[in-house]
Amino acid sequence: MDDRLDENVIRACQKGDKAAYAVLVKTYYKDVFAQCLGMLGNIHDAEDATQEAMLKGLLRIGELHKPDLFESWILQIARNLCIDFLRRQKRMRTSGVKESSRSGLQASDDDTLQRAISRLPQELRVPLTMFYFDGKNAKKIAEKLNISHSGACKRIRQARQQLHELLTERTYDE
Amino acid sequence: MNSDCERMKDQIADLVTGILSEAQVQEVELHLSECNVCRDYAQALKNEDALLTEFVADMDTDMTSRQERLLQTIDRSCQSKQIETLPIRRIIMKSPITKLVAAAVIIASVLIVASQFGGSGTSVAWGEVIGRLDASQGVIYRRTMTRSNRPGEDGYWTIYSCPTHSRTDQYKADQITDSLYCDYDAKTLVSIQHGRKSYFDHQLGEKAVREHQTEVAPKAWLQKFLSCEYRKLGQKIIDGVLCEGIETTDPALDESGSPVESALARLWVSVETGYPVRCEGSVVFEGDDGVRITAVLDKFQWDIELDPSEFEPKIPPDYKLMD
Repeated sequence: MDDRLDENVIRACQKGDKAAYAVLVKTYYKDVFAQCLGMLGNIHDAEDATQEAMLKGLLRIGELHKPDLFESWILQIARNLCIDFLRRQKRMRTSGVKESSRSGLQASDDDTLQRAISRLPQELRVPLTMFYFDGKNAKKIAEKLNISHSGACKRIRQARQQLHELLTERTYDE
Repeated sequence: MNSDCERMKDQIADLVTGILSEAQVQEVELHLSECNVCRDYAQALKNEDALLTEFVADMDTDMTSRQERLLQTIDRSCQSKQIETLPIRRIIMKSPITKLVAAAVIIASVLIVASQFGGSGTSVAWGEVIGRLDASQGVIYRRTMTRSNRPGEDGYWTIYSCPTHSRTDQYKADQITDSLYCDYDAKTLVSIQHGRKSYFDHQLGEKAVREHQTEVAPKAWLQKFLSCEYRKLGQKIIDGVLCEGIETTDPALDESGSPVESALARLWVSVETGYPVRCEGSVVFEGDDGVRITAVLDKFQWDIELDPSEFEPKIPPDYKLMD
């Protein structure tokens, strides 16, 4: 979406135009989802977090004074929600009870690749997921994550190498 | 492998991923033409790259339905006029003189938004949830269960339940393996094993019928949950629905009689309809093995009129009746 259209759509949202909401959802859903998937490592949790982030963003869109910053703003909301979610999960683990909400679904999912991705450290999983969702554009990933282009490339490379190790290790295990 | 290989590994990964600078491509390709080990490594990374691309493409195909679910949720919240509240808040904030007064208005607006978010209801009346289930004519839902000591036996059940009949279809790896049809009035239970192409036809006693009814209907599980000590979790979007949740760690939730080391269960109920959207529980039993059982009840379709044909056992002609 170009900046001008973006601004018009966001202004319309701020005036309560429901059709404009649909445009924003269709434009930014994928980016938010990719980031949530990278942070949470689970499709279902990522979908929940994306929903929550988009709803929260739409509810608070009146607070956004610079429409051109919508993308980084909504990604930040999603990031905060994912951090909260991971903190809750950590608390559950330290209290001796494993988070159960997705275990059934994960256990029945025999997707080797998805399991390997979920085992990557978060700092590598996020750029890797976003990179593949974003048409393999490392420059865009760098902008979205607010890191240098070389930093983004390095993380993507390390993610690919560690993923290869995990997949190879899995093959040997089997 | 030669001494260049280790140095080349990073560049090979970059080449395959498409992020290697033009200047380095030639050098890496030359090395690949001379080194079998690195060529294999590059090929493996290429295969994984294709897998990753396919993985994302698969998810992309579901993206539209995910967006639709979100838009439906937004539609529901729009109906409660929350969207119209926001511009008013902006107008108020434009005047610095009224900022202090506005602060109070903003808090009130946020509260209105929060209370109107799910439509007509302001929050879930937990005491009324069971009564609502009683009023539901029929329900379809999914039950997923896993046991840590039986890996590979994971599966799920799709359960159709109404006051007079039930049907349970068991699935493993998305293939139906067993079906159970129970007629509470006729007291019959037909059990079909699809893998063995066989079926059983049982006549049940009154007690067995009641036990089966209790096991199949989600009401008993929910009653047990609500009788435990629980804490409120607040609101959250679950499966595209605004829900309010409660959580319990009361070991009494488990009725197996085995000593329980820890238990955790959550119940999420739609703010709009008052019907459960998701129940999830995990119990770890005492002992060296620490067996963990997790169960999830979801994909509920409440208060639906189930066609009687749903409860007629469908037995293919080549299936054998077992004694």
